[in-house]
Amino acid sequence: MSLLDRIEACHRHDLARFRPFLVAGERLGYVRHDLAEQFGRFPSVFTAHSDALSVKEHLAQFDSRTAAIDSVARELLDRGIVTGWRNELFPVAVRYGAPPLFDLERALVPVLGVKAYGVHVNGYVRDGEKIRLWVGRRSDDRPIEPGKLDHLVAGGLPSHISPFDNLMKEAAEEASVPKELARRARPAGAISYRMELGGHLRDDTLFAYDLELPAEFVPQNRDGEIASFALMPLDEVERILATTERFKFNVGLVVIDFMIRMGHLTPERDDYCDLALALAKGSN
Amino acid sequence: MSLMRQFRRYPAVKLQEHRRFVVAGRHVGWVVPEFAAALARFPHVFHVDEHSVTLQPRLVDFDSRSEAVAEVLAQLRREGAVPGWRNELYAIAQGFHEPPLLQMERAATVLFGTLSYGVNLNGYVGREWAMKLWIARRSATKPVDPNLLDLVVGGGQPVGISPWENLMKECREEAGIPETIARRARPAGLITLLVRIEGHMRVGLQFNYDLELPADFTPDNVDGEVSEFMLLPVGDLIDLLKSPKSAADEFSYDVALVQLDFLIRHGFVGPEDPDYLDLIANLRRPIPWEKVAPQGTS
Repeated sequence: MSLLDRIEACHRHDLARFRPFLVAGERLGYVRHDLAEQFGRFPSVFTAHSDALSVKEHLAQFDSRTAAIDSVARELLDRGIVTGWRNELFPVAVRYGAPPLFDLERALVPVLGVKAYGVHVNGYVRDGEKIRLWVGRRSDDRPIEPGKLDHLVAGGLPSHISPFDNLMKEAAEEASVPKELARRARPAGAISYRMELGGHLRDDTLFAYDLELPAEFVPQNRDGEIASFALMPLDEVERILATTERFKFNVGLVVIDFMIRMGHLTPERDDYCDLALALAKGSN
Repeated sequence: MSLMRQFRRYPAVKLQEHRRFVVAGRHVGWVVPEFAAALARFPHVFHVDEHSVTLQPRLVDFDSRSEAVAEVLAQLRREGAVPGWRNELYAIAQGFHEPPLLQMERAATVLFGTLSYGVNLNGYVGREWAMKLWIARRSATKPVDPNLLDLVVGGGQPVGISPWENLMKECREEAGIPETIARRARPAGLITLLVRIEGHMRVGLQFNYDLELPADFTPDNVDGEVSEFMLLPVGDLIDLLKSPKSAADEFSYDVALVQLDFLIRHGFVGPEDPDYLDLIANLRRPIPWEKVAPQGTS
């Protein structure tokens, strides 16, 4: 196992298992063939062709489209085809920042394989030349990746909130980071990946932020999503990432990018170029 | 104007108009068409067809390949077909950490379209929006991009020296940065280049370093390649990259991209820029090598 394996695991998918999900002639996602047929049972909202699942053209407005898709989603929830309802809306758009074509309940995001965005914060402490990273352990009752290691602050990006505002909100809820500290977080790039997870296609972009914290700051979780925090030397983070699967599957992407940007990994490593280019693969 | 302007300064490279340079069954370059025609005159070294320029497989090792190519290049240089001869050898392989298949004169690598490497230094003082970057103006006598703006330190990566050693050497020669200061530089990642400028194909991988310089340090050019150094506030740098006031305010193509990467890594350009994800994608396009079908055994 290696750092490169962690990245490549996040790019693993076979589009042959999916068909494009179209809205207004634009591909917005990929849906598994058998699930496309389930959506096709609601012909007033969806049309399932063998090569695509599309939303009916008469649903031409944001509001009508959002309501119609939501009603089908709730029906699929009742039938047990969709699980893990979150009561959280994610915007679905042709590209980041474009006006959304509709809002979608978060549980449906991977089912339709539409693009989702998240914010991940590398919270770190400088100790002379050394860098230590705050790492959280996810609670055992989390629906996704319970007990796995995670960032100090991380979360999906819902509708109507900017990455930075979402970061401020999550920093307070997840780690009790005071506002005046959280405000110092700086954007540092974005990492995209497309992988099969639980039979669905996840097509995500993570906005990476760096937040240098004072040595005396200790995070505390408020929303019950993180069981404990630890401040780990980057060497140890690297070792855990390279040799175990203890980190949540996508956290490694942002942490390896951080280790490259901070000069923890250097061009003298045999896999330096492979790591940097593998991180960029999902953006291209 | 958008920072995306930097990726549109030269027309998009049409790879299909170029021929694959193939060595030992590996695709290692995109040969510019005019040069492929010149290479066809040396069939004992190059097999040229409409898609590829293949180094003859009888040349089985590093030494024999390097020697045979050097002879051809010496001849073409006499004919004026290899301008800007540098007397500097570059290693040729599919990637930086792979054993080189041959070495060739640096000036020829832009005609073969092979992968070349460079080291770059972002030298700065101050933090946050009070940050200023040291930049250089290239001397009028430089063969490439004379008078354009440049990084405080940057250079090609020759064979036989590590990127770090190369950076230390360039810090000394280009900007007079003493090793005690230069050693504080930190690697910060890489970007890739794919551009064709005046018939030269540049497939590049650039190793980037950051160095916070002491406020009282002033760079001093030793090798005559720089006409002046100046401190540029980070806000002015963004303005220049978006729209230069005149042609004299333009950075070399690769330098502008190194700085874009710096601005993104340090949070001066963030997700509120509508082109943020496109900028990030364009900074690290994949190296454009294709799989080569094995030669028929008949």
